[in-house]
Amino acid sequence: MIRGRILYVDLSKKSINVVDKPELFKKYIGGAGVASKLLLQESSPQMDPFSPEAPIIIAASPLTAIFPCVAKAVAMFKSPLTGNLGESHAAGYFPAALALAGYNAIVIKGISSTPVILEINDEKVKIRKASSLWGLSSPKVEEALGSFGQNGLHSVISIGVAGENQVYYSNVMVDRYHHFGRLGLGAIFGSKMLKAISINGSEGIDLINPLIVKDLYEKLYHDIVGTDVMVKYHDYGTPANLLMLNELGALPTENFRETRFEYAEKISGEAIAESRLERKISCASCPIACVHLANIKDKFSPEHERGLAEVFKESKLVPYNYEPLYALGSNLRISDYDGLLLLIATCEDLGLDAMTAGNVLGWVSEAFEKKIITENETINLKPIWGDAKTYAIILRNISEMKNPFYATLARGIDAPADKYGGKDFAVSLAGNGPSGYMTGYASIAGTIVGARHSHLSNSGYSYDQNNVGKIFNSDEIADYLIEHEDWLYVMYSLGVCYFSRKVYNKQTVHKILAAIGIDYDPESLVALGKEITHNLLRYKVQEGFKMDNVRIPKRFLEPDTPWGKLHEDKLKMIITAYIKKREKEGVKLKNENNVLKDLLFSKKSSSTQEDANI
Amino acid sequence: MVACRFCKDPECAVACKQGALQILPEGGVTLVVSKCKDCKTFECITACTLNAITMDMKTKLPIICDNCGDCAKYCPHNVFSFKDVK
Repeated sequence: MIRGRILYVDLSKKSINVVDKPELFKKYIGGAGVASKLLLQESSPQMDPFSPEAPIIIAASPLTAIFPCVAKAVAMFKSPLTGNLGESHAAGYFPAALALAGYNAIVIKGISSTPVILEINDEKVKIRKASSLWGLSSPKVEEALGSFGQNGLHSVISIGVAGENQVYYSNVMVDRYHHFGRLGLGAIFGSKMLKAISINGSEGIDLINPLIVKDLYEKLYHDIVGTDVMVKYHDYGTPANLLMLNELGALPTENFRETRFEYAEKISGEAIAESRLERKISCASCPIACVHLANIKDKFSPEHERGLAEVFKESKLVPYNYEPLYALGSNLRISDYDGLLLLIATCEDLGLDAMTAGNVLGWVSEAFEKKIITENETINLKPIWGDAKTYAIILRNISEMKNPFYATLARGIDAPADKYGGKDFAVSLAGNGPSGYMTGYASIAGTIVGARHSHLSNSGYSYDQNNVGKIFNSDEIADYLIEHEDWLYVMYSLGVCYFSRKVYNKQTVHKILAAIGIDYDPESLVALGKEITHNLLRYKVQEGFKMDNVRIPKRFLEPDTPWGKLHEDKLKMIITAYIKKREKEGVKLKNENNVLKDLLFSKKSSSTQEDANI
Repeated sequence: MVACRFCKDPECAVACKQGALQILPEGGVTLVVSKCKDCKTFECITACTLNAITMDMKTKLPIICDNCGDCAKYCPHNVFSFKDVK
């Protein structure tokens, strides 16, 4: 039975409504599919991301907590960082707790006049005053909210000080070691004075075909655990990519000046595993355990130890994966894992997206080196490559917006370059901090055309790596990006973790959906993925995104990559081919004057009875 | 360890229907003992999201931090610190 239950919360009016939309979920399944539809429904064009009307949409999937590795929820919102689509994925216990509490999605609007938390205890939902939590870090908030409720699954998502102060790349921490990391969801929580969502789910999920589900589960479990398809994610996890990409000459180093780092081994997944790895943990319903936790030793506060203060250190568990290792590691020439882990821990403590934070620090270091900024701006700090301790103070100053310079840094990578200069080495793609894959053309072009400007939009990096040495073909790359994007958005609607994408093929997806009462033949699934991508692209255009006009910072064209130095005209050829192909499918991506009109027209003309139901 | 953070807009004070928790200008609250009676629900305790209020089982009154700073003063490990907040 597909209930499709959505919790609508208005923090201004302090109102809570529950609406069942089974048809919406039968058509768009959940996750990105449902969230993109709700985002279009709930937003008016070109709204201010911090306005009361700006919605936060978080959608899980009706398959959540049923099948292995179906663990993700998708958040959509207007990103303050890019001024366009905000899309961020996370798991932990949150999607499962939401499902067990009886909900498939949450829509939050309004702005509270005082700090609040949203407390969901099955059917009991409360907006609670929470002034006492304002100013605390997410781990402290989680301690305070403890294991609320008597039984069932508990989950807390919350923001740190960076989110409260609306840093454009602040994140939402999920169950201590996971995140809605990207594009500034934390700032939107902060603007709404929403410190946390605490869920206790104990209702359970009704299955129409428990025996079929059991059989399918058995097979999927075997594919996931009994084969070597996913074992790499458990072994060293994604940090293993660091040495591999360094070898390949694709590891962004020193703010993307280089693609090989001479100290890569010192900050590699292997090195950390050998000396600091403490635990590996899983999201709810995932048998893999890919989240790697390092045990770091940090100094106690000065008064904490009166005797041998230098000898004794406090232990802390810090989650790490490849992206922060590159962004806060090689990208800043950090050459020891303790310095690198200190920076990740600082981002955790403040509630910052480690990736964009690393790109901002990259610009700061280079701008300081080139004397574009001086100690007048930095408040006497010297941001020099490799100095983790100084970088940690800078991150804190950004989160607290210590002076106008740090307040500018809080607005992302482009804002400081616009104000102080150094645009050529302000490493952003369409406003977002790029992932650590200088693998070639498909990675960079894929990040530009992808709706959320991530390497996970369309796996372009994978094309680059598998086709090194091949003759450049923009058409072929555009086809690859489109094919992968469309299918990945099916995965992201199912709630399937990206890492398990190879296990969930068309036939399997058809079967698991049928087992819970959703009818999709394998071929229609591809059409669904296309429709979801189109919806996202429409939203992008509505908010002013001009795909053919994205600035490609010179820095991306300077270092060697496995495909040689990248040429701007070739990147543009891929983007042009992509636009042409998408337009052929019926999405207008060029000629912005007509787009809004078309969009409004298509909104009106497509309001059939079916659309009215969803 | 949990301690009252002297909220400017404390949820405990709003929750107390007797008006027994008076908000102090510098933040935090003080307990007006004469008003704290006939209350069987102790909503001040459950209202504090930080769980910084506990109950004195002998007097049946909530234990409200009065901002004296002794915990910070007598903790040699600086688990608590006493500082001005904005």
